[in-house]
Amino acid sequence: MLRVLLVSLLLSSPVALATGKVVQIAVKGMVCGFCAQGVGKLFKAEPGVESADVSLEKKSVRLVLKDDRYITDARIEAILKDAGYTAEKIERP
Amino acid sequence: MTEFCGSFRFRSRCNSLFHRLALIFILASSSFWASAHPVPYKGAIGVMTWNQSFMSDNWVTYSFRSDAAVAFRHMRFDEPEGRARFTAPQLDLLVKRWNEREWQANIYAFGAYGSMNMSGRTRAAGLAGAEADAESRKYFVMAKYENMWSDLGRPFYHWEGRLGIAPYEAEFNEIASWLMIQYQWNPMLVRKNALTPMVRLFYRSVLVESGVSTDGDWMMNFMFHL
Repeated sequence: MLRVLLVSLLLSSPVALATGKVVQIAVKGMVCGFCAQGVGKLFKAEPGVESADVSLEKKSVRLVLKDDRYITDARIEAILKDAGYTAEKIERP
Repeated sequence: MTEFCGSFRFRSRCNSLFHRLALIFILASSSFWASAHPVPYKGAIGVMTWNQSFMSDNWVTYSFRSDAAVAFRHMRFDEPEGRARFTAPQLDLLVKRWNEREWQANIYAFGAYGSMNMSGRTRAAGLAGAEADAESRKYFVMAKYENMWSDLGRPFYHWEGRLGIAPYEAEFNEIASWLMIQYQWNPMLVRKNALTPMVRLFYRSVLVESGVSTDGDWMMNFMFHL
């Protein structure tokens, strides 16, 4: 009974639904919009990425993943390296 | 430089040594500068054209790695003896990059080997250069040095430096504006010095620069990435 309650609670929680869907990445070196166009372009070319929003103000990239898709930290770091930048922190809220 | 290096025979060796030392100096001393243009992101195609009345420089680049690009380059420059044209394939390398929270800095090196045409004669020619720049969302600094050798017998070298300030900090998808001042030292050209205030605007992957030098020479530059 307790197990059923816990599973129901997890499934109904918005936090649980968001897990793995959104990835928030703090990026080092991203100060120029012209140079950072590659960040959005390379992430959007990734099969599991629905959208990629770049913020120079927050020095971050917010990825929304497609349903049932996942992107590893190593892949994120590799894409950022190809774009010329360095991942500082990767969070999956 | 000419006075310093003396006679013609000695001058060519002295210039060569001076340029090599200058190249080493810019690479060694510019560790806080950075530049973004010779090598964009991996897979990018870049088109860049810089135009002034006394010289123009056109590049098409393809970045096959995040730190290396191949390019095709065509230059036109006006010397006292006439107009010269340099055409060559080029290799661009990102030698070092610093990515920090509030700024980025880079050092690039590039080399090309092709042909130079002047007064109806065409000969083999090579070029080596280095570029370094550093930028935040508010400030920009850049320095570039290039040296060209040709069987036509006339070396060509020049220095270029830039300082820039952004009147506001543009967001990723906004039009960004920069106020810049560029100084060029071109001892071999008809215009040996040029100080050019300019405006740089860019939106997404398209960048435009325009200015007029203190001598009245126009400048119009254009770049985009695919």
